[in-house]
Amino acid sequence: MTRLFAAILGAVALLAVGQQPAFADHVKPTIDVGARASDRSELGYIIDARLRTADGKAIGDAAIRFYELVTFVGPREMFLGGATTDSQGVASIAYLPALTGTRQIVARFAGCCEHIAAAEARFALEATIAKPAFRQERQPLAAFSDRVPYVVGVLVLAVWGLIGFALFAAARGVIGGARGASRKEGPA
Amino acid sequence: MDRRTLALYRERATWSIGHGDKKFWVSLFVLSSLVAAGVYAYVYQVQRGLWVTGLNQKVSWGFYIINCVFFIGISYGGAMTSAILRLTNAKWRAPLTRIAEATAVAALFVGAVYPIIDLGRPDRIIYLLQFPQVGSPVVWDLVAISTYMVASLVFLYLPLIPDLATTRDSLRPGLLRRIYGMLALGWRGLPSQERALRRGIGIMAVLIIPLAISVHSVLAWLFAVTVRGGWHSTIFAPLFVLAAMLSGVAAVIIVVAVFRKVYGLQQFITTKHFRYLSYLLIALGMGYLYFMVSEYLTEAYVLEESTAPVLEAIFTGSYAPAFWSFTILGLVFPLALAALPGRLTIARACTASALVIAGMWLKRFLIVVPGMAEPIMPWDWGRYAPTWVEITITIGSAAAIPLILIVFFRFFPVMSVHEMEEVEGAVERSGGLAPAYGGGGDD
Repeated sequence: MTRLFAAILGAVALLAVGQQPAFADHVKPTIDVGARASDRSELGYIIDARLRTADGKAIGDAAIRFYELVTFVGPREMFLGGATTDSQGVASIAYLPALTGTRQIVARFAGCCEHIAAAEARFALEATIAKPAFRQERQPLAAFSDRVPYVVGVLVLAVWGLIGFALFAAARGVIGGARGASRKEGPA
Repeated sequence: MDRRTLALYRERATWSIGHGDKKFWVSLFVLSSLVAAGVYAYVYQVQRGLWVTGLNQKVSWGFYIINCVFFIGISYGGAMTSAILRLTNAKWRAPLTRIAEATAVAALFVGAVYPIIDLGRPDRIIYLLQFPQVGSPVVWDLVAISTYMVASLVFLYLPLIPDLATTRDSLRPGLLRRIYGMLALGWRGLPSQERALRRGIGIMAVLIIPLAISVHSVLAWLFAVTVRGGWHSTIFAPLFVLAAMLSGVAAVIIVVAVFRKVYGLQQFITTKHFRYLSYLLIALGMGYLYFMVSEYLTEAYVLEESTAPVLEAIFTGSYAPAFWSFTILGLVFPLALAALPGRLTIARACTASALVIAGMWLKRFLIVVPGMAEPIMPWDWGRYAPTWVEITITIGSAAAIPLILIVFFRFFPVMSVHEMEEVEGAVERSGGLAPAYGGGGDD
């Protein structure tokens, strides 16, 4: 009986051990991030992230997500895009910054297959290429409609002038008439 | 007009100045209480924010914008009535012009306050002056309303000058007499003064018409320059102008009838005046009906994607009871009532006017709310139901108009004495036509 109980316990223990991943966190990868100017200036920069194991083996078919650290509306990560690593372990995205200057880029790998751990790397991109400033397209009839408010403004001023003239000319005429009559009558 | 009648006219026009009978004080108390309730509701709204109203993210224009358009429209009708009667030199105008002009100013003051009431942060109205965008109709709305307000005040003041002198002369020496004297600018009825005053009034009478048109057109463009279904219409500006004239003339008829009754002006404001004003009401109503049919016909025939749900809601949907009530009870029936020959001209004119006013308010509701509630994005319709705050403010502001009028006519003559003398003089000189105040029986 005791032997049977020990056998059952042993079998349960073996099953329990068998549930555990054999290679949990076994592989701790590293990411190297870099950027180069694209041949096509409208694309800005090509940001590369190389995902490798500690012994330098490339990890392919892994999803890398790229972010930029921004402070607009509070410090946060702005998602730039995602790419999957190739057989060389390289994932690339094109990125055209909104502004020139230092841009903090983050490349992140979330881990995979329960045996490859997550990894992250940061890179300071000194951007000299940026999106051109937004220029609103000239609207149709813009040359005409730009002037309309000024014409209306002149009209409004003319109306105010007319109102003023009607009031002050009438008041002047009434007051002047009264003064003239008083002068004619002489001192009381 | 003989000397005795003219004296009676003068007495009736000025009897309320400085006097207040029981009716006056009761009216003052009731109207002030209603206005105070409106002010309380507004303070409640300012303290808590616009969420206490029925306005919401989808229907952000409700009673306040409806009332703004409605009251400014009434003001327009008052000013136009007076201006047209002056420019056409209608001999029967004398007892009416003062009431029409005062109604215009009172309604304008009330209507002009509504855009501020509609703001959750009324202190930010100053931004409109600090950072004006010349391409925005809202900026031009402010310009048009303020210009029209100044013009209406001048248009009210100039014809008042001789009557201020008459009041001044009837007072004992003292502070009040000095104030009236200053306001009368030393008027003595000299030919040179008459000429100067007539020129000023003439300019204002001509100017007030395009000004009033511009105010209501700009109000209409606030709607029409959007791409919302039911709003984006080229006919909106003339439609608004005509609606304003229609409701304004209706309001003038009612105000004239009330003051006639309360101030005992039956001898001077007769059936003839109401008949003529009814003709004006009918003509404007027919014009409005034509414009409305034209607008709906063209929109419904083309039936653009954005317009179709609005028209469906108005004609057969949830807004259909309001629309058909307005069309039948607020437009067709009152016009027929005013046009029918027979007795009780004044009663019929007043009933028709009351229905027209109610109908025109309903029409503004049908313009503002379905246009806003229409689903521009593919979601369901917006909903709007006013709360007690909006209803109380509306009642309070409506009470403010008669309150302003009874207070105004406690200090100034209710009918233009000078104008009557002038018209009567002209009539006598031209060979004894019927007296300007007379004609027609009295109901």
